[in-house]
Amino acid sequence: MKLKEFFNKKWAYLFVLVPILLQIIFFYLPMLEGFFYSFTDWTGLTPNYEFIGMTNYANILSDQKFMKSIGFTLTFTTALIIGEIVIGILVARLLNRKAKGVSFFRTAYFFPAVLSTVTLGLIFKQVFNYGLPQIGELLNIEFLQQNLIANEQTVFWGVLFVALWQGVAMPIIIFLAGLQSIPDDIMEAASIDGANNRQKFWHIELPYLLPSLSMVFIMALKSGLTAFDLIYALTGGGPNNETTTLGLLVYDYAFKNNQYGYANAIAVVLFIIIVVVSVIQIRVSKRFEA
Amino acid sequence: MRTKKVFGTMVVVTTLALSLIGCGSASSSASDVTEIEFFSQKKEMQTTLNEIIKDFEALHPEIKVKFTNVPDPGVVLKTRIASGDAPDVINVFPQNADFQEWAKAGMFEDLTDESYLSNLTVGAAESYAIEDKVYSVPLTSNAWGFFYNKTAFEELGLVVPRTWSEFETLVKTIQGTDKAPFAASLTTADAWTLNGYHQLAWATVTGGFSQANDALVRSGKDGISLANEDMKQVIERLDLLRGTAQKNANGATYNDAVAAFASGNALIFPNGTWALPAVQSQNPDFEIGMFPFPGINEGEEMTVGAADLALSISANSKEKEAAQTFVEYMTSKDAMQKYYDVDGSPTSVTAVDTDGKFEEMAGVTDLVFTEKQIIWLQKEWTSEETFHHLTVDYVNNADQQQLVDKLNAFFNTMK
Repeated sequence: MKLKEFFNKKWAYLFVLVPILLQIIFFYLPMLEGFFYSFTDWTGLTPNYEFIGMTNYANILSDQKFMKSIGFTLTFTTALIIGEIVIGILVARLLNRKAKGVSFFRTAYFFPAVLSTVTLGLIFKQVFNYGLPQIGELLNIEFLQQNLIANEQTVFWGVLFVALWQGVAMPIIIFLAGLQSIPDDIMEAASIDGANNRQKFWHIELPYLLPSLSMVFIMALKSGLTAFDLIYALTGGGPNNETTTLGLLVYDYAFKNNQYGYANAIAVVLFIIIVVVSVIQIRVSKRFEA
Repeated sequence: MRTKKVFGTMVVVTTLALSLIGCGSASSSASDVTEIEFFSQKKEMQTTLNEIIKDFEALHPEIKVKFTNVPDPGVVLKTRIASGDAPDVINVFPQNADFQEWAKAGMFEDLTDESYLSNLTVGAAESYAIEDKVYSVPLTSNAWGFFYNKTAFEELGLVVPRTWSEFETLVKTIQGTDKAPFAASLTTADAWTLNGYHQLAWATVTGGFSQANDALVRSGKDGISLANEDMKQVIERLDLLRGTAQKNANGATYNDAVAAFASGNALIFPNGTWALPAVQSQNPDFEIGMFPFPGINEGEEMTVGAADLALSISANSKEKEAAQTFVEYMTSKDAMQKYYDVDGSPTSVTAVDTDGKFEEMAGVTDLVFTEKQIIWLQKEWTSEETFHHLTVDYVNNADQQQLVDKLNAFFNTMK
């Protein structure tokens, strides 16, 4: 009888237990193991390793590849955040109009989001390799005749373009939903009071979009800092490590260079960066919401 | 109500039955036939290896070979061995750092006293010994060199270079025509294609395998410098690739390079013997030849290569006897003649008839198992990818100081 009572009251926890267990086994335990191995010289090949204290962390500071990689990762993330927010809002505003064929465009702009990132990387690799140079030859534009993602000066913009091409799809939907949640009477009242388009945007739409903005910011931040598959398929981190993100660097050190311990140390640093940025972001957005 | 109950029972019964089927098949095969797993990394030879396995199973009905072929086999093998799930017979390259680490850690069976080693060329297995013990049976060897368009060479009156300066002249002459000298893939992803070029540049300049590694990995921290004579000469050799490859080679993949060569647009294709099937699958309408990396003087040319199909047995294998039988069969003429006739890489199995076959690669393969072949330099490194990357980075941007800095950063971790 007591058992039955217990079940009646607490049975809901059973359902929570399963995901929590999964989370612990497949997420927290490997993460703790990662912390652990970052203090060792483990190669990842044999079960043997030795504790070397903070040596891995000390080595990171003098690692030119790491410095270059963190520089690229941060600029890439910043550009991705700005691009996703600015383009996202612009396109969402256009799609929010009552115009003919607007539902077609809504579908069209969302389409890239359903493509696998690796597929996208491989497709654009061919576009940059064959498509654009062909157009360059036809139109006789010197700049386009080269492979833009094989040139150290242009590769950043090439990768950013592909990342945004897919990356803006979700933000557009989120902003569109935000715009549509604005009550019509407020917009109407603004029009009657003689507010122009710009004033409507800055004083009505933008405040309403703040929660969506904060959401898009987090998504772009996360996908920028942990970017891996798109760049792996598109450039492999080249040319000259110009597009090696921290994620790719960790993979290279762990699986190609047999430096598992060191790779884990870099992953821990990446983890700390994400934690710090997230805490700041949450604090700032809370202030705005309040 | 009743139907619900019946349905429920049916589900339970079916589930039980299905789980029992799984048990049944496993136990019946264990009773009379032993199963061993053969893990291969030679994707392009999958069909041939399958035929060889069928022959073997016909000869030894008591052994069943489970043939494992997966994408990205190197990484899969690493994770399987790390988690204690090593296959019984493994195709693993004994010149690589991972093999040596595994062998030292006792992951492989000691094969030093196996009688079938006498089926191989003398010293073939011993050259990969770890602490004087043989853990790997190297059956074939790859070799790196330059494929060339023999037909176009004859039409243009060009001859195969015997010295480095002849090679430079040859490339200049081809530049004067409407053809590109080299078909190359200068991307980070396919940087491995020029690994042999850079390694042979060091080997021919310094004099050989140990001299090259003296300069690279045993020269003390930051021991590589632009002031060193050998570094200067290596840079000279890397410079030959600058601006001499097909258009947009800096964005080309391995397949693009193969296509540039097979279409006849580029006349020299720097790559290893493994690339021949890929070139031939494009049906080139010209004759293919191959020449080795020329030395400073005539007769100093070299090739670099190492074991390709090489077999090891896991120390944790439960069916060691069956695994040994399989490896022994693989050293026989029956097995390797079939393999060689498709693959064409030089084989160490002495019984295999190689006369008059794969003449197009003879220029390079004739040097294999002679003193003009060095083993891949990474035999004494802990990894190699970074070396591939810095090679193409230099060919693309010509920054000499950056090349030296990267070489030092890479080798300092091993010093």
